[in-house]
Amino acid sequence: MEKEIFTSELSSIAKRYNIRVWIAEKMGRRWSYVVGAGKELFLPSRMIAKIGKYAIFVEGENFDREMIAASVRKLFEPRDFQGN
Amino acid sequence: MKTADLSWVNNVIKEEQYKKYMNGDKDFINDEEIWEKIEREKNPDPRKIREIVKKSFEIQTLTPDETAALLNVKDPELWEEIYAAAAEVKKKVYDNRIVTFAPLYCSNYCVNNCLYCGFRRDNKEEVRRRLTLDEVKDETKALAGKIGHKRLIVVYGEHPLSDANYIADTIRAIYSVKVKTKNGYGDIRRVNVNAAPMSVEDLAMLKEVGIGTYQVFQETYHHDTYKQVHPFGTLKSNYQWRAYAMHRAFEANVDDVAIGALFGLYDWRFEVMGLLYHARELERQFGVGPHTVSFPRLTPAKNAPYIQKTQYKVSDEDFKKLIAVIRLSIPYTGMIITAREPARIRREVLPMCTQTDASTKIGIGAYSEINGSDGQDLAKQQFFIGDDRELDDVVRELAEMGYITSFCTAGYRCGRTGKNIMELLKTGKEGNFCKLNAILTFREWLDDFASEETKKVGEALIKKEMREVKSRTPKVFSPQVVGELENYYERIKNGERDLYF
Repeated sequence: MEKEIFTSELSSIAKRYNIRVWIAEKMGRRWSYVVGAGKELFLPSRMIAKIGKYAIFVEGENFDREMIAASVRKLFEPRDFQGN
Repeated sequence: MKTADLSWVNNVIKEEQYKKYMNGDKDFINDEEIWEKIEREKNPDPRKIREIVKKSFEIQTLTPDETAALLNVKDPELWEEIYAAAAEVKKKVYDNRIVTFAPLYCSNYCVNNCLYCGFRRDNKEEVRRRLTLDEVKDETKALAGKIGHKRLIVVYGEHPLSDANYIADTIRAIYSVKVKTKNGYGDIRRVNVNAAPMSVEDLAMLKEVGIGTYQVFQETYHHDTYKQVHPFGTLKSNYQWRAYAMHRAFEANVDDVAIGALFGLYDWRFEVMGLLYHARELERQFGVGPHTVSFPRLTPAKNAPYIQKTQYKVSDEDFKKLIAVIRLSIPYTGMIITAREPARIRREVLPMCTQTDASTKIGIGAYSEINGSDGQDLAKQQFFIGDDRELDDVVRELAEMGYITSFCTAGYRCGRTGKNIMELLKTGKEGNFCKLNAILTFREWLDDFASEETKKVGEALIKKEMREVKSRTPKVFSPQVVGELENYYERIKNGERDLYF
């Protein structure tokens, strides 16, 4: 259920900024996909912010990192990512 | 067996962690149903076969009836069509890249007694050894610093000395190695694991340290044969604990899982059906199928009586058929052809496969200790390998055949894993990433590790690949993608490493 809320919110963000955006979890030296949205653009991915063990990745052209990071950060605010 | 080992063995299997997925006392393999389908689909109409192949082109998993029909094709000309289609499907999903890796055997202690395996506990001639963490690092330095591998499959026997804690420690040790190379640095960016079935808790621990793909082969899906080759009372004799290993992996949030069968234990057509049923079961339960499928054939091993006895040895002709049918049945999956097979077979089936190993050594500690000869010693390894060529030779041959060797691990650098990558594979989009990342990682490897001869062939191939990328603009790649590719390519030539799409 939690993931569905994230997917829906990330979809709105992806549409608004014309990007692909996703959240991944740090596992040792690698990143593991959690949830994301937006059309695949085949552009290099950029990590735009870290939130605890999670990070926000974005694919897109000339996007505003700060604005997008702030929008995604809001999703983490009311509860932690496990939905507790 | 020592008392301490016995006590460990008794605590490995957690019945509640697999029984909950079963339908009463039934698992997802129904032997009678599989044979019934193989028998029912005899003499399939060529038109029906061509319709099935069309479905594979749409990257849809086949039904058991459809796979059974493919397995029953007799006409050699129709088989040629099937091979060509299997190669085309591979290209559609993964483009013309072949990913390379190396196995790293960390320990050959084993509590099991499988009749086909050199590691079996009754094989007293096997020299037993477990690498220390410093030795694991030495092996990694040789693999990442001298050969140039970026991904490994680490292999362990099932034993308290190589339990999940040891596996986690070795993964950490491998990731910690960074070695200076000719023009940059070498490191292992993806550690896949081939190990025994584990509990959800153990798998969650491996997830925390960054496990790549978790690989467990069922060996044989046929219940009676499974029982026969895995002696009663051993850990491995529990069919369902093994069959549901990937269910537990998904439960532990491991992103990518890999399945396989050891061909030669039972009828190859049955095993192909078993792999399909396994893939469909994972898709049904978790929405994600196997990241890769492996199809090793039985090869000589020391004191492994079943190898001489089996009546199910797979001929070269049937081997090619089974690969083609797996390719078409589970079109999105990666397929691994290993150095178990001789070079001539690998060349033959490579167009249908996605991954291969090279510079392969399967002795414990073999990469850092053995120089000169091929170093194969059956007293120190699980089986005999058929192709001991160096990575440089394999890369050059692939390039001459028109295949680009990819050292890509991009998915793990940016979290394009699990459900996400599965969706890209099923929609044919992942191949575009494969193309771009193959060029970048191939450039990196050529600069750091290639011989002059291989570099020359490789650079000609890169030019061709670059032209292909540009020819797909703007339909597939935007001009910005091409710009980014050229930018990354130049930066890699100037010594930057690990740039990816």
